[in-house]
Amino acid sequence: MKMEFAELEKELEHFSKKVAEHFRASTKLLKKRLPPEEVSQWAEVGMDMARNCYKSWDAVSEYFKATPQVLDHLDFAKLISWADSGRKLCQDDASLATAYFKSSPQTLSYLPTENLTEWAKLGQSLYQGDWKSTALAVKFFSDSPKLIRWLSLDELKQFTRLVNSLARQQHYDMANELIDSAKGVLPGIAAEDRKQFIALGTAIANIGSKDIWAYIKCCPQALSQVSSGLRGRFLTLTEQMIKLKPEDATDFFADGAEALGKVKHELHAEVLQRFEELMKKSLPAAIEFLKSSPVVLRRINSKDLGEWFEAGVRILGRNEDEGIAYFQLKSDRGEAILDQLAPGADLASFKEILHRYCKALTGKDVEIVPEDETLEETISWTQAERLSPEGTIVYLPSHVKRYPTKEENFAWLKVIVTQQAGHLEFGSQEFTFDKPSQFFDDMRPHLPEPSKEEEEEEEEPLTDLERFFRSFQDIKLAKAIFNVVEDARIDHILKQEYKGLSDTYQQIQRDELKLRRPLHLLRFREALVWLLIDLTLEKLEDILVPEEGAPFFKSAAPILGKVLSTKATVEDSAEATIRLYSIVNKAPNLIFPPEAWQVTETATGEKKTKKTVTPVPEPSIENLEVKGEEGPSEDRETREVEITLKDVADGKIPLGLIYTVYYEPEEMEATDAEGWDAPPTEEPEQVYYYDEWDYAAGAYRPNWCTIKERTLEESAEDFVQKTNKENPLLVEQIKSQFQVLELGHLKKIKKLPDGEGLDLDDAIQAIVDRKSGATPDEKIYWRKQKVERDVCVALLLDMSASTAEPVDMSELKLGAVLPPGMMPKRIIDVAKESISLLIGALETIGDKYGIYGFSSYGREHINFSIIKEIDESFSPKVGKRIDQISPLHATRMGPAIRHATAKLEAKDAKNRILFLISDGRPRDLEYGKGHADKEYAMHDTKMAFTEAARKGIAPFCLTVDKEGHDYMRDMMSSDMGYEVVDDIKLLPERLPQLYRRLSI
Amino acid sequence: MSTEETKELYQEYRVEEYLPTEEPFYVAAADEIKIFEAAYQQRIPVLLKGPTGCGKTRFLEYMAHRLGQSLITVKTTPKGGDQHPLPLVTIACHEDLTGTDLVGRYLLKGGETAWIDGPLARAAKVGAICYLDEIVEARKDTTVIIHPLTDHRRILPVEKKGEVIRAHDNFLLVLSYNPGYQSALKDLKQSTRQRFIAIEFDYLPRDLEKKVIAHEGATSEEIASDLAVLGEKMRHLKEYGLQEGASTRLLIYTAKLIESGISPRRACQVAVVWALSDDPEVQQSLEETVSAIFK
Ligand SMILES: Nc1ncnc2c1ncn2[C@@H]1O[C@H](COP(=O)(O)OP(=O)(O)OP(=O)(O)O)[C@@H](O)[C@H]1O
Ligand SMILES: [Mg+2]
Repeated sequence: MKMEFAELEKELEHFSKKVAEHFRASTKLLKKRLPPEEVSQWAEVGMDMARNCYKSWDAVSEYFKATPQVLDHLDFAKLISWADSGRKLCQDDASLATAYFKSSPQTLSYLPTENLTEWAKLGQSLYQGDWKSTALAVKFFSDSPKLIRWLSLDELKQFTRLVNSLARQQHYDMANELIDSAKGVLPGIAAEDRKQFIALGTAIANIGSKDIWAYIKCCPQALSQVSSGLRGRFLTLTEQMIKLKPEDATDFFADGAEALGKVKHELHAEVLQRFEELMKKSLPAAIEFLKSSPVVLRRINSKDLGEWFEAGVRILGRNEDEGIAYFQLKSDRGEAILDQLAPGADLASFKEILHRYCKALTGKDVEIVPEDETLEETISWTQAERLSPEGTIVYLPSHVKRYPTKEENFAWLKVIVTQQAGHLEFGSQEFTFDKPSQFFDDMRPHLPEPSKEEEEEEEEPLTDLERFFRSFQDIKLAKAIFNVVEDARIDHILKQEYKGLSDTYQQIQRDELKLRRPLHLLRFREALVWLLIDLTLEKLEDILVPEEGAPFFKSAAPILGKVLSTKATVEDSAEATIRLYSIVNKAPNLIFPPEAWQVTETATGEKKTKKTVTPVPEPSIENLEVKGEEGPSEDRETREVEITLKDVADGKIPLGLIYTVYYEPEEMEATDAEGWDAPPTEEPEQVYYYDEWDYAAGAYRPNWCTIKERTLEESAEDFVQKTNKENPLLVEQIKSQFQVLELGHLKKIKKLPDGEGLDLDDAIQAIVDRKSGATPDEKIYWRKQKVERDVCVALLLDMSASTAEPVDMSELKLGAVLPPGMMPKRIIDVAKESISLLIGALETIGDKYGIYGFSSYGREHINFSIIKEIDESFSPKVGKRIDQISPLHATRMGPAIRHATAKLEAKDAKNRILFLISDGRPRDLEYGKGHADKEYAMHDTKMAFTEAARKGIAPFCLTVDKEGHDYMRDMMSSDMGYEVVDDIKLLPERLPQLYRRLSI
Repeated sequence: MSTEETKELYQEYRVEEYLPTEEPFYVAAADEIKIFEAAYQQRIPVLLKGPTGCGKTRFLEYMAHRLGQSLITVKTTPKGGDQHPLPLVTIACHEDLTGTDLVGRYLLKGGETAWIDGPLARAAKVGAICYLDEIVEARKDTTVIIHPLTDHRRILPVEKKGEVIRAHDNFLLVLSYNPGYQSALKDLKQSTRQRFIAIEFDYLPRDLEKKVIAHEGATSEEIASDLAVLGEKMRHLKEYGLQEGASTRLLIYTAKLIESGISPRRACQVAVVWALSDDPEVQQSLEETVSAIFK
């Protein structure tokens, strides 16, 4: 006996080592479980296949390999019948048997054993003898576990019949796609709906090939939009549609599902029920209803859907065309009814009332005009500059739906109008430079005069207010402060004067402020200006301020307090502005981490801090720093550094901050001028809109995100060149790694007329030929030829503020006094270096690559910076742009990924890779519920990756966040790659390595 | 009901005898008191211009009282008794007002004809201030009658009797006229206009009106102040949906309603909003203003 197996093994070794190995391993196992004669019977079947079937080693190998697992499910008799089925398949085509055996263990965990033969026959039924049908049958077997898990034998038969019918019409691509589609759909629908899914497919197949193709293609995506409990019902509806209007059935299926996808899942049942009801009366009306339902539900509350619907049904009852128009949202009557039900306030219907209201308050004729995108954002609780400079126009949103009822929404409009009217009523525009203020010792006479030239440049004479602003170095800052102070004065007066409105007014102010971007995302100076608004609304002690900034904040309070009087005038606001400017201008212009924002402690507070907060003294005329007479800037820099280093030593300031403080002066210069109008720092060159995935709703939010794309400016220094110079060793090392890669992809090509060398065999043949008188083949040379690498990669770099963190704190501790000019490295710096090094490698191997950076400021401001477009060839410009990369704002990954995906999608390459480099999890303003909704952000990012993968792009995510493993696992599907580099200093080495591995 | 009882319920005056004994409450907007005094001294007729309910009548009541007091001190009245030294005779003008109505007419009394003086004649005789309210409403031919009374002649021809009345020394004619409603048809003839000096009235500024409302409406400073604000706002809407802004009179009514327990917003609604306009959209604008001011 032993002999016998050894011989068999030897025979098998002839075929392939692998077969023999599997044979040996399985025999060993089987011997423990089966009597010897059964083992030999089993072995015989394998041998028979090996001996008699063409190219059957793989099949045999799989047979041996699968047996021990299959034996868990089958007794010996059934095992043999299983093997026999396989053998029959093998006689048709070995690859069928391979797939069959290979998927058997998994299939058997779902398939009742008595159905085993049937299953094999079903697969076999797909086989027609040609390669296409073979491939299909192979696919059938390989995907069987994923089908049989959900389908009964009967259902599987029906399904296979459908697949087969497509195949018989030579629609092999469809047949394949159908299997894929089923794999996607089946897990998501209820057991009783599976029949429906197949039946519908069969019915649609009968309409025509275009329809079934559409059905197959859109099915998984479409059904995923429908609430899970209702998918069967939706399929049934589609089937009814086929009977009523076959040509529209697939459109209905796709459009209907899409429409439902935009409606909250809990409302799907109601929408479908109403659809069914309407279908009985008018099919076109029902279809229009379904398509309109998302729009309608966006406008009115779901509880009112019934009322709107019934009104439509009544109209439909009278006149079908009118009814259809109603549900199409194209009838005036429908519009009126919607408007009545809608909780939102339409400006159009309130314009005249507000116009007259405004006239009543101010006595001035102020036009009310719907706002557009040109509305300028300002630091104000009203979020925007709503009053035209001449004070003749107030801009308001054309539709307000901030609150659940129309009354509240109108109240919002009214408050905003009152606020704007207040500026007219209480003299904001009547500023006179020389008019004394009520509550301050006037400093205006001491302000520097704007220079003559400056004045002469202007075509029109300056207004007093402009003249006032010109006295400041940072005019934008001065304007921002003045606006906030003047707003505060007006708000205060209005609340006194219009007591009937004051509560609502205050409430709406608070609500509006909740919508602003979190202050900890802002540089502190801008945040400080925002905080002044809070000061008028909240108690001083309740406001969160970073400890560092508290003194500035506290000294600002009494100044602002002075204008909060009904007697204060616009001139008081101006005087307050001078003082506040001086304070704000001294405040550190950093981004403080969220943890640093604390409740300011009251003077009487029991808690004693180590550091006593001494308010910054109110500026006097002598120490007024408005324009000009500042000390030499270097002086100030060093002073700042000294203080902070000392504070760090005392343990007063978290280490993380020092770096930023230290780094500040240089960076400030560059960004200060534009910092105030953040988010949009520069005009985008292009604007794109992307949907965002709302996992809670299970639907996309259409056009939710605005990508603002622009090419990064070039700085003076070429960062790539600099990095290469600084790291000669690393550059060499990486180069050689990639050269290997290049070599590895050279292929020896023979039978060339000319080449690097002679091929021995061919040469001999040629000689033989010549001697025997035949014409020898001249093509006897070989050459190593580079196999065209066809890789296109988009490198996507997270440029959010968090990348400003220093890489290594210990550096700071050790060298308590850093030599000037040496800055601790930030995450972003390391990332920049790594990319620079990678560029060298990419240039070596000639892959196509694009480099992009992104940061975000809420969904409407996602900055997408182009550092190098894929088609652009490398030049020092790229290095100069890399040098320009600096951290800013937050991380909304989803849209950035989608945008990069779109760029890759447009490129034709065999391997397309999206390579994201980030320092942490996605987060942004209002990314989901508030900026803290990690789940939302993660799901959207995951979806963005999935979309990329669906488009045949391989996403890869590299993160330097130490906690990365936690969420990366959730964020990336199992088939996507990610890597967490926990020592960021290794990144310059790791990045090229990773890329190499990824792109082979 | 006996005659005695009836007498207790109302009092009857001869026009020339009617004038409140107490000093009327009047808040001056500018120098109108001085001007009127001067005009009276020179017996120059006065035209009072101004929108409704802005205090023209009140002003005249006040002036009559004030000037009457000074008349007492200057010279004793010839007739003596309790007759007021300077009565105020008010005649509301309307389209059907004829010259006869003003001057006088014969009436049949028991088969005899008896002459009855009209209010203008009586005023001229007793030396009262005669106030022709809304003179533009009267017919043009009527207005001519006042011409000889209002120039240096100071006489009133009584054509039917073939007599003339020389006006009493104290007599002065005052017209009121609201330019707001003027139309070409109803404009005053220049020959009439130019017999008068004109004092223009307007609603009082907020702070003064507040005093009036507080006093007349017997209400708190605060409510009076809010109502004054409301008045100011409503007046901005003249020609913007409203023909005329809310008058002081309406604001006083509102104050009185509030004082008797009606909620401020509701009181404003009935006394101001609905009183001023019938147009729902305009009404809403007014109500928004009301609700901004009142809780
Ligand atoms: N300056 C004022 N001082 C005191 N009371 C005033 C003043 N102005 C208006 N009033 C109050 O307003 C009320 C209305 O004023 P008045 O009757 O004098 O108005 P008018 O100008 O005569 O109006 P019209 O043209 O309708 O006759 C008065 O009863 C009085 O209570
Ligand atoms: Mg009057």
